[in-house]
Amino acid sequence: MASVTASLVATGALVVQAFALGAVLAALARDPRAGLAPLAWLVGATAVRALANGLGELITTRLAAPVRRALRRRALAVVLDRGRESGAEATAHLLTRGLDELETFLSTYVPALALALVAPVGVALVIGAEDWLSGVIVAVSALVLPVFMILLGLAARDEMDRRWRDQQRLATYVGDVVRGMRDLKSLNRSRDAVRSLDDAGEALTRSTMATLRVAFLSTFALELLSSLATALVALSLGLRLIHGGLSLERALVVLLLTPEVFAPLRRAAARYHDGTVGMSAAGDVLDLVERARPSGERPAPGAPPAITFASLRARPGLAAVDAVVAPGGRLTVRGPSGAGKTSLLRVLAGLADPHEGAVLIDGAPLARIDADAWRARVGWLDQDPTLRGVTTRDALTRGATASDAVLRDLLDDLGLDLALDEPLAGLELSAGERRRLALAGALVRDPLVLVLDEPTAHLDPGSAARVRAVIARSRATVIVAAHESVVEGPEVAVG
Amino acid sequence: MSVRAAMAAERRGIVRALAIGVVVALSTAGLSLTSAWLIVRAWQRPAVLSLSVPMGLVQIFALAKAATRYAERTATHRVALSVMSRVRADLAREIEPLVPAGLGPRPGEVVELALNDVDRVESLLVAVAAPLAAGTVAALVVAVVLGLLVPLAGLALAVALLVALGAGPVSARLAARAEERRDAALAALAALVDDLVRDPAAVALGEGCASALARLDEHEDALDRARRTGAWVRALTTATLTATSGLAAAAIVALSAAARAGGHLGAALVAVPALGAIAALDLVGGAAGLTGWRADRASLVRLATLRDRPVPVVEPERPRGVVPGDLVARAVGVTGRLAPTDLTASTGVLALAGPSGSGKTTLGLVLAKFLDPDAGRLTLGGVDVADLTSTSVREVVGSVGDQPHVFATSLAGNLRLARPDARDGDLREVLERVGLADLLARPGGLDAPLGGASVGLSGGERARLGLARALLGARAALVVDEPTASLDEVSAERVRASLAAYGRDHAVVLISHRPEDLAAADRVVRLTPPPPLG
Repeated sequence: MASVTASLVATGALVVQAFALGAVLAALARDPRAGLAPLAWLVGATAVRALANGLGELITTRLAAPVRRALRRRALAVVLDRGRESGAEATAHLLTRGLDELETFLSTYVPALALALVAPVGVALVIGAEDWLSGVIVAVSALVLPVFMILLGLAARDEMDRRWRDQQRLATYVGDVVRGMRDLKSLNRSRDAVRSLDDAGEALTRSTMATLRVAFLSTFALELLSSLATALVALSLGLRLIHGGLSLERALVVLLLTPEVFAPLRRAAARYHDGTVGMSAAGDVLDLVERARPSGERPAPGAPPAITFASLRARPGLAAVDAVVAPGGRLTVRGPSGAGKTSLLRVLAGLADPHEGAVLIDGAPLARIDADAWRARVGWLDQDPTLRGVTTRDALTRGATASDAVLRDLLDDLGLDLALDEPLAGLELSAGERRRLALAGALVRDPLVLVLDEPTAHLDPGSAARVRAVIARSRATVIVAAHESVVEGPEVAVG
Repeated sequence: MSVRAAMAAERRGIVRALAIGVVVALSTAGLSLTSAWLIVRAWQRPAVLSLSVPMGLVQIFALAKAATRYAERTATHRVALSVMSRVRADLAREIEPLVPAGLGPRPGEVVELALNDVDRVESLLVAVAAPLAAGTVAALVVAVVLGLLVPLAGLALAVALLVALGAGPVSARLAARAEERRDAALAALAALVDDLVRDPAAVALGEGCASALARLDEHEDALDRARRTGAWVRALTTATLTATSGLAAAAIVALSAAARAGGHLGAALVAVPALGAIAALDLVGGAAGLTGWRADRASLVRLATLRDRPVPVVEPERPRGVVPGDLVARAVGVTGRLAPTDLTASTGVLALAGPSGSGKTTLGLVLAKFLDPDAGRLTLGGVDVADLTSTSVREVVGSVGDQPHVFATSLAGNLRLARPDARDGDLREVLERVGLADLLARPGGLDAPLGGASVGLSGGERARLGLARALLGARAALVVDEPTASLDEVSAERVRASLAAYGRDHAVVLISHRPEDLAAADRVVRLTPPPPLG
């Protein structure tokens, strides 16, 4: 609102400018030695307008930032809590560029639209008061115009939606080619793929141009109506001046103000394309935010808990699993690849909701426990672990604080000879080393529950024995999915 | 890629778009000038016929303005999009020789960079450069016309135009630091988001959501601070431009009055200089958009520096023809990564063993000419691999990395990358061989889409899909990096059997830790870690 007020003040100052100019020019036409007093009004109005425009610029920047922040925060919280439904590239694209588009939409399009709805009416009323016929011409074209533009805009909306999807697909496509470049090169297909980007770009250009040709029809309508109205006003003023039915002052004021009826509409229309792209992104962000699930209220356990799988079906199509592990106990989950071992572990780690049945933690359903607090007590080893951070230390601590002695002991126990402050990027870690480093990271916080997916895959026999010994020492309740025997104790089969 | 080169390639389109833009701008100013003339002339109550010239001009300019605006918009966007797609394709072309051994650890950032920088070029061309160039030309024409009527008014307009055009670069200089900070904040934010969404589970279970969101807030704070500084500069620029237009109009009215008093300006033309000046200054108002030009230039420079990275493979100047045959390594080594190693890969399965960090993967990269060795000699069919192009080597030597990429296309599309003319039967057969027949039972079968980040495939399935692709490629030699690492024993046995079958008439180099794999291989080469550097 504040920014629209600033724009309205600027519009008012513009009207004063027009009256001052009209007065001084008409006087000069009549009398070559006329005074220039109205110029003081012109200069004063100019100062007011400059101030109002500058303020408006300041205000709009602050307008949309809180909305953008809140949406990005909530969307990211959902992705972290529930995982993502689309690829990493597309999700990152939506959360960065998508939200930037949304912010642009809110900070430029919305105020421009609000002004376009108010300012033309005011200026048209001033024109009508000066000369009713010009007022009618301007009012009719200004009324016809939005109808025109809305109709054309509606026609283009689906196209604009598609354009946003095309851009996202292309973002995925470039990412896909870059990420898969090693595989493409192995197959000698990388040059083809790079060449196909030319075609993809050409296809994007074509589809975007098809959209814009439709969208620009509204630009055409706007330009046509505004120039015709200006021309009509000028011609009708001229014809009436010739018969002496109108004063020159009024004619000049009307002529100066006529383009200003259309200027706010033109500014809003120029933003329209930003607007549709922003709306489209907003829809995607809101879809993402809607996936939020309520977090449980109960506190997470303070000691290694008993864990019960009660008729648990992690995914549709899997057999129900029943098992009980005592506090600090061990359980091995066995089954062929793809039988749902990983899905089961993800449910236990609080990364996914079960399809049916429940996980009970000390007798209470996992869904009722505060998810972030639960996950803070879980030590998790993915079957394809990601090492996060810059140095070995970052990968180990994951934001927690731990003394160097503790970290070194862990690395020693797992047979890793790594300097703590060495950048990970330069290390060329093998798959087995990555796995052991990730396991060390899972153990740093002394978790109450260890959830391990194939902890000894990729390992030579010596390293595997070390890993088994480290796991055996942990006080946590341990659930392992593995093909070979990693922990003592009961086993449960899936699939 | 220099954007300049892409623009040079589209020069004709650019010139055309600019020419149309000048016509639009001239029509806009012309409509304003001629209606001012028409009205004051009409007020003098001449014969109606004598008004036909200004009336005709008003109509012509009005129609020309509407008609050419549409053409200008389409021409400008068309050429900007063409430049963009050229730049994007060139970017991938420059990354291609660097993969996998010469590109940094974060290809995701490269992608974000490409998209952001390339889009920046578009907005620069469409929103700033095109209207500004056309507007400036037309505004100068108006200044000349005014100069013919009232010489000092033309001069005053020229000065005001200079101020308006100068406002952009000056505010760009003022905003430069804020822009840099904003870009740094945006890049840091993008890198953070990229990192967090890559493996959300690792974040949720590692540092936790609360800590990750707190880091996001810090980045958002930095971004907001930078944006606020930028907004002050923009506010100042807008105010300056508004003031320039109003004050120029006042000055030109005063100069017109002097000319009128001196008898140099007729009554009919008295409104023309003031209205012409306002119209001309409106045309170059877009200069305010120039505040971003430094950042745009930084984008251009970043895009151009990619080619400065060292290339991991040097192609021979006079390549020799490739002859299928044994791969023979004699004391082949890579400083700090691979101790000098001998091996001969001929028909059969050769297993590469050794503790983690002994350079098995590095040797695999060298064998497929993804990386030049620092020492020793590698020959293929008796020809030094250094004398062969990497493409020709890879016609003979196929390879599968330890984490094959699953492309965002169908199952069939993923496989046909290796052999575009493969029939559906071939694809089913190769999936069967690696134990992935289950994938065919999913909805969609061969046409089932596989997600961008290999959604829906486990690590083991991904590894086998990569192997299936390589088997379909039917290279004479195949280097496979840990295909059985995340497989259960039944699936691993299936993979071993398919590699053994392939090894009957091809050479297979199998990198593995698994004792069963080594036992099943025809020969085993054990690597020892290289001495530590320095």
